[in-house]
Amino acid sequence: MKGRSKHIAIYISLGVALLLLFCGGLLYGSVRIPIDSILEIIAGRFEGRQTWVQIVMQSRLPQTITALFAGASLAVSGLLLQTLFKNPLAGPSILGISDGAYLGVALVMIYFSFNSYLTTIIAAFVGAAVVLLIIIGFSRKVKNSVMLLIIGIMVGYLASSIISILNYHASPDKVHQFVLWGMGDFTGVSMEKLPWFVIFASGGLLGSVFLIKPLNALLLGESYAANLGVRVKSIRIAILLCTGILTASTTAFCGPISFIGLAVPHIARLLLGSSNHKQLLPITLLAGACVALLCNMLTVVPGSNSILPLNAITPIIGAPVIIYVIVNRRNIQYFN
Amino acid sequence: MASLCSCESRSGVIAETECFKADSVYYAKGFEISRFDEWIIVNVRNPWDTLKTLRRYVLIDKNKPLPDSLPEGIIIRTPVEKAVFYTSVHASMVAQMGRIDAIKGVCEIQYITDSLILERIADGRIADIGLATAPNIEKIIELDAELIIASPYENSGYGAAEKIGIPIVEAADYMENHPLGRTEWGRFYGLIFGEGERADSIFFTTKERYNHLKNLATQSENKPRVLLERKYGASWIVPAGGSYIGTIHSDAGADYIFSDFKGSESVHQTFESVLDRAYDADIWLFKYDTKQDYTYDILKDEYQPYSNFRPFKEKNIYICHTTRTTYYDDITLHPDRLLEDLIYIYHPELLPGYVPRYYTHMK
Repeated sequence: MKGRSKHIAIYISLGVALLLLFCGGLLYGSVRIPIDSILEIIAGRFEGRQTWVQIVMQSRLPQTITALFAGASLAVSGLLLQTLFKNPLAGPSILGISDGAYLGVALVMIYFSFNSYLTTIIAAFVGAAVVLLIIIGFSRKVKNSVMLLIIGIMVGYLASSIISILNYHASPDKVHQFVLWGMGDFTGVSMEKLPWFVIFASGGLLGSVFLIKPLNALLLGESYAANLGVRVKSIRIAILLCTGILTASTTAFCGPISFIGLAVPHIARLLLGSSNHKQLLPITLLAGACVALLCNMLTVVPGSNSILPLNAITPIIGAPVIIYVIVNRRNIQYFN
Repeated sequence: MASLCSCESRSGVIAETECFKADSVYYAKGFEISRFDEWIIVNVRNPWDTLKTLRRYVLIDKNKPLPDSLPEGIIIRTPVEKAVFYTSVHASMVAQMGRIDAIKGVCEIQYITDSLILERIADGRIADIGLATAPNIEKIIELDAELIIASPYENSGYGAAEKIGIPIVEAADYMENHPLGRTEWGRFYGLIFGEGERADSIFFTTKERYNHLKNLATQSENKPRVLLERKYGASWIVPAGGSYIGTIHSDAGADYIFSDFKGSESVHQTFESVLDRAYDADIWLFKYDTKQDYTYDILKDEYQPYSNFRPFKEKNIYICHTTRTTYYDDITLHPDRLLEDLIYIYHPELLPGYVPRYYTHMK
């Protein structure tokens, strides 16, 4: 009973934080718009400056929704990978999946120089899928999850070295464009594109909910899970697929975003004090959304019209969590 | 102007009787030229700390014997016959002064739009020496280059290139804020390649033409409000009012929306702050280098909120493809040509029948 009320308290506080941060994302930006005007804009009754309506409805609203889904997707894919590889340092950026998506985008941006939005998205999907297929292929041969993680890291290195070679031959405008894309960005998804992102992200998130039971079984070890009747091989593939959809869609729409996938599952475990995915997965999802919304707000420099790169902000929140987890490894319940 | 002076030299102070004449430098803030009997001294100021000297070059005629006592500085024997260029812009400048034969190697050949240089790269007379940030040093040595021309960056050296004993000219022209300031650097490069008079004449012709066009632009009372570039990632990088780009648009008779940003550095802005200030701009110009040409549909597909700007709604967007035109090769020596394009866009009545070189009306 005590555990249950704790869970409810966590859910309520994360829910409230999410709501506040969501509203914060709509209210706070580099252009100062009075709160009552924003409320009227959202209610559709505002009759003043039309630019403010465009800023709130076409820029801040899609940006905030994008941050919410991107944070949730990255955090959940990080959790799935950490459980699958039984390694607290697994995450979409570490396994080479983001690098694969990144490479796909680099190819179309630099080499083919297409400027259509759709090509970028398809390229990211194809890149992430190729890396995933490679990892799935190896997962048939390599049974040891740590070794598979190392293979993922190697594939990531290969992808980044190809990106460097591509950059070598690109023009400064393209490199510039590509470097800025690589800094992560929640602002690039317009209201028109948003439904696509939400559909992909929700699909991946929904898929992961069906994996809760086998994920818990995997925590006990693969042979134990097999004894419990879990089809380990197909579950591994299902987990990798889910992760692939979540990471590729986020990377395609927002660029490679670091640290959220790695750090948020730890924040969730620290809050919860347990690794039961029945609670851990939804809490990771909520915490991921909250962290991304917070990072999104922190990119706007107060009192100025400029914006900081997203990937300059995420490590400020992510890195201390990872260090805390490593230093306190022995005292943290979920490691024992 | 002639005056008496004394100079430090390696062997002490040179006789005070030696005369020098300083060339008037009109727009450039980054260098100064002093002529002596036996040599020319060019002081390049540190663009990041203008009170300091970045480099001091001593240009001495190759055909005369080296004097016994030399002033302090980097000795360059002129005219230089074999040089390598880290930037395509400088190679193109030297080619336009008629010294294409002195270009032996160029970095980053993909930016080159000068057809004569491209021809020489194709038949091997000009070598590709790799990336400007990591040039092929062995190749530079093999080419037996007498000189390296490079663009300096703040607090960064030139790595191994500094150790092979070939003088490096730090071509800091890109830090000049006035378009003609950049052009004027050509006079320094002209001295190096023995084409001082030709370089001077290119500069003075450009200067006159530029100022003539600038005066022409003042005849129009209409000053369109202009928005520049577009969003990259999360930022819209806006050139400041005091920058090279800010100056040339003002000279073309535009009311550049961000001209109140002082200084010369570009400023990162959020999309919403640009929209808030520039939604009712009259004209919007941007540069691109993608394979596909931009259209209103592609621009809207890239980021739908672009369609809120008035130039989008009224179809007043002009675009410049930077590698299909000679934009980057020309702007240093011929800012007058860019100015002419801009005046035509802002005040078409002043240049009837003119065909723009770089910018086209987006379809």
